[in-house]
Amino acid sequence: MTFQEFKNLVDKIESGQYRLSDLRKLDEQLRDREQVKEWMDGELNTLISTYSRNLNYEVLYEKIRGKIHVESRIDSHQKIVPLKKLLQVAAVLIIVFLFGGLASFLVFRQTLKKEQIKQQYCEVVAPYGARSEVVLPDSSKVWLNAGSKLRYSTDFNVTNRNLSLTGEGFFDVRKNKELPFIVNALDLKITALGTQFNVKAYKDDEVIETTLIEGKVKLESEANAYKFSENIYLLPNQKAVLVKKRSKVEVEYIPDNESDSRKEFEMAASAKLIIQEKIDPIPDIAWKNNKLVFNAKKLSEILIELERKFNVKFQCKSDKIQNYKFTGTLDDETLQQVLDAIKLSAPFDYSIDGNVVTLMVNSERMNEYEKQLQ
Amino acid sequence: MGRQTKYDENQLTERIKSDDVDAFKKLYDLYCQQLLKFISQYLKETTEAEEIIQDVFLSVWENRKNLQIDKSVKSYLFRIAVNKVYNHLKRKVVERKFQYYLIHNDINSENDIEDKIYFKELKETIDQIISQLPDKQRKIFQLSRLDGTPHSEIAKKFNISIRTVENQIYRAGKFIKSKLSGDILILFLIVNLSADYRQSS
Repeated sequence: MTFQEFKNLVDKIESGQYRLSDLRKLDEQLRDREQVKEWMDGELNTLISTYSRNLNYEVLYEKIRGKIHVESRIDSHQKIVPLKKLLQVAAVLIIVFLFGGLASFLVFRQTLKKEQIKQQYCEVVAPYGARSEVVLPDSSKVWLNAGSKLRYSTDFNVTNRNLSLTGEGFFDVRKNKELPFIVNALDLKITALGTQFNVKAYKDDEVIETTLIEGKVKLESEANAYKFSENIYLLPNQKAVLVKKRSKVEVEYIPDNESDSRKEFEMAASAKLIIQEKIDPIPDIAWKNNKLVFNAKKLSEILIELERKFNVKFQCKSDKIQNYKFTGTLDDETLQQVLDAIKLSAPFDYSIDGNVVTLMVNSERMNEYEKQLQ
Repeated sequence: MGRQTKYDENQLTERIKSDDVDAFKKLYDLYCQQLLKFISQYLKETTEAEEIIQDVFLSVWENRKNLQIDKSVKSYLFRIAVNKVYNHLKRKVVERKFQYYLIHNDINSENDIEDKIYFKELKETIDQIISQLPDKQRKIFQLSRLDGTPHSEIAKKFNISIRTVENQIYRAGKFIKSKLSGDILILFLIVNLSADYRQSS
């Protein structure tokens, strides 16, 4: 086989327009790993770099930069803060020498601390399309899912262990009985001592979810809309779903005929908190290993997660498809592999244009599906 | 000129080794276009090609401490790219094989004798892998994926929940693909069409 023939085969397999003989020949050629790699290496080294696609190189770099960012930022944070403290201590010591009084030492240390609280915050961001891992000053560990933000003051682990989170995070908390670990997730306040739990609080989601893996956490809210009458504690394998207060309730239904429709009713909906017991927490925390696990999850909800994970926007013209439910695990797939897999089991086609993915009903296959359902 | 480039590259490697993000960006600017042109010949989707590019550069950054000054960072970069593309092709072939197996049943539809043998082997391999599945899981997989029996019917037949049916099919698919490729599998999604659809209409 020549290199050119090899590449023609790759094109066919890649595009999906292939015959069994193409598959066989490519399969056989790939077994000669050394030859294939030699070809590719030669090709890569002789390529002249020109703009090959309509692609924004800077945007792509920012994505990469986003993924290496946290590490370097946290490093610098941990190096800088002790230095500042050292200077403060030095300043205090000089003052002690000057005034020679223990009282003044205490007074000044107090003021310094207060100033520090006002000034400094540390913020860790996982942009869309990326995840981050953070080790906090108390050695608790946090995984941040795509499109999430974590904020804490520089006196974290000195006077408090308060954090605020928007988006989704998994927390592995170090035990410290004196300083409770408090996560403020939108309107929900979660207090933990030493435990593992997952919080999902995206601004545009309708619910705030807290899933406990280990230990015990307390749920509270200071917002009027969510005042609980009693203290609520979660135990392992329990999940709390706080349904946010909305002014509109969306009612979806699928009529018997073909037309897709959706109606909205004005309704006063009050917030509520649902505690689910004996749940399987694995699907909720799979994202931190770059996996997505779905248990009979609606396509519409899956698409939201994919949007965050791959930094894309979905357009879907059919409500019917959005109501299909899928079960399965996505390991470390590319967006196209995910879509191909869904396409294999549901009657739709897709096209990708930049950051926009459009899903279309394949009416021919849809008819076959309908027939099977009769 | 050649010596100059060599020197710059050594310097670049050294700076990346000492966590210099600007040097990393310089490396990206130098080779991103060339790499992307190469990768996009094998992966037609821009998003997929982009993901490989990200992987390549991230793995340079993650392994920066192991970079060797006297060896070109460029050749390291290129080696990773070639490996990633090669692995992608391997994975694609396994996916297509499994897909082909699910869609085509009849060996006699192939004209070419080599294709016939290849398909026969593929079929035998996958059938053999299927035979290694636990008894119940195998039956469920065969009923669903090969005979097209709705999940609700399978659930009734075995007196289990539809979720269990899906779970079993998922595990079976994962097992088959991992055996077929020799590495950890990728994925398998199952539509819970029958159950969901009746509920909502």
